[in-house]
Amino acid sequence: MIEIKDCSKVYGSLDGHQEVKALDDVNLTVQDKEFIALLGPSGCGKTTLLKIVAGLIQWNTGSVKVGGKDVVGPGPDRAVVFQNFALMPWADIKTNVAFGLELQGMGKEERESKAIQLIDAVGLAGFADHYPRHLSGGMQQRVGLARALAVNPQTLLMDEPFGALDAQTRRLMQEDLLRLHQQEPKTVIFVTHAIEEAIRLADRIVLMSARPGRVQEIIDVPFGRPRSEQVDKEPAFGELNDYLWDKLKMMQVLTTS
Amino acid sequence: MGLQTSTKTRFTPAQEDRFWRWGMQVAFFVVLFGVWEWFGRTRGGLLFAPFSETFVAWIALVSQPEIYEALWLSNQAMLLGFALAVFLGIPIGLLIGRLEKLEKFLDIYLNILLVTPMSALIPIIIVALGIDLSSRVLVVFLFSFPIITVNTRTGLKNLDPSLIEMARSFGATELQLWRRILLPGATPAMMAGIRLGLGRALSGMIVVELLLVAVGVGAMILNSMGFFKPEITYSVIIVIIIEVMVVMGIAKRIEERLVSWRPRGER
Repeated sequence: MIEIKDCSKVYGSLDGHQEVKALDDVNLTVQDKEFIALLGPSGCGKTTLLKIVAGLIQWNTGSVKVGGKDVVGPGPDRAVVFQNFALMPWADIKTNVAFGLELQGMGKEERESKAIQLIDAVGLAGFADHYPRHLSGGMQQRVGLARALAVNPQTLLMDEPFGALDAQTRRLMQEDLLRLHQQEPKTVIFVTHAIEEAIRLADRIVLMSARPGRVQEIIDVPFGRPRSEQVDKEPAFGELNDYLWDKLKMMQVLTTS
Repeated sequence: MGLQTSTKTRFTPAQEDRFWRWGMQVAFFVVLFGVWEWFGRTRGGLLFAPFSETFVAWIALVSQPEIYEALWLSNQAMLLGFALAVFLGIPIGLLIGRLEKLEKFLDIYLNILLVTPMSALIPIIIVALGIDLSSRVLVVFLFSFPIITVNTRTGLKNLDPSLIEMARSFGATELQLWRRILLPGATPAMMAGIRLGLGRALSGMIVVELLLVAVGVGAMILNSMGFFKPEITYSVIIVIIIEVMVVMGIAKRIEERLVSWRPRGER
């Protein structure tokens, strides 16, 4: 379980004049094996919140607990999937996937055989010895996903993982992520600014507003699991989509005016 | 008809490309040597030797031991100064690339070193250290150290910050971060800095010998000019150019070996 209580984060600007309130009293509880989407306009602090849970960023006030323990830094129970993939260009795919295991001190043979299993699992069989630059964006993010799964975390923290991909690749990745989540459910926090993506994937959508970043509303997605690829044909899908779009549109208007 | 014309071309595009590249080189040298010869014969005299005389003098030069002794003498200073620049420039570059406070403090001095014409400092160095090996080593060092340091720092600073974040998210210690992310990531810029530094070290080696400490190949250039033997001057210069090309070629090879993971265009 992930428990975020009254969490606030202020970024001080470099010259010390202007302070930006990235998060303001955020409260959120995520159940085990629950799939949460953080949805909101840019600047709403959704990535900040994700990185706080990851232990990569310090927060100012409030408490953040994962599995009942205070977050003091990164840990093997959480793994991050990055928006721009963050693959080491000098290392081949199996070395990239095994990176987390290598840092944990696992022997070369053991970690590479585990890496190859995961490379197969994310649909990249045969690419173990390739280098990232030989792979398309979608394939690179599959590597990023395999690397996160390799350390067998309870929680997967995904920071707009499909944001840099084209529409078709994105759909395919969403289907594959749903399939993987079905096979081996994990707690997932998934940051996105795409409404449809949030509805397709998540059990609950946390709608955030910007400046300061606040939790605006938490919405239950009315679709069970295993979730059909045709979920967008359901009337409830369109209704939720419209509802969220209206909310987001209002926020955009408010922040631009 | 189309088929017939296509059978006419017997060369692959790669062969054609090679042909043009070599053809251009040969044509360039023919023109260069031709103009050189013509100029030397019509305008030359005591101070300018034509290509043919230079060529004869060059053959004589490289078949005598004198030039190799001079090269060895010159390169002692070059090797020592360059090695010192690498062994100090890389760690200092890495430190200021990683520690922002240190960078803020040292940035100005590094910039001064980078833009100051080092030749202007040579008289001061000679006065301070005298006319011996140490002053030549120091000049070579000052020529190559700044570029190595600055390149190393830039390589570290330009590293994709999400890679560092990624490593931290998997619990990397500072040592693991250095070994697995920072050093490999900075290697391309570091190697480019070493190669540029090597080029500058070779310049420094010649400049100090021409300006103040007349030994080695620099002394040979000065002496031959003093005795109005331009063909020997040119021959020595050609030997220096050959050394520079060989040394830089080796450096480039090593660099490519080390950063073979980079796409060709970015090397």
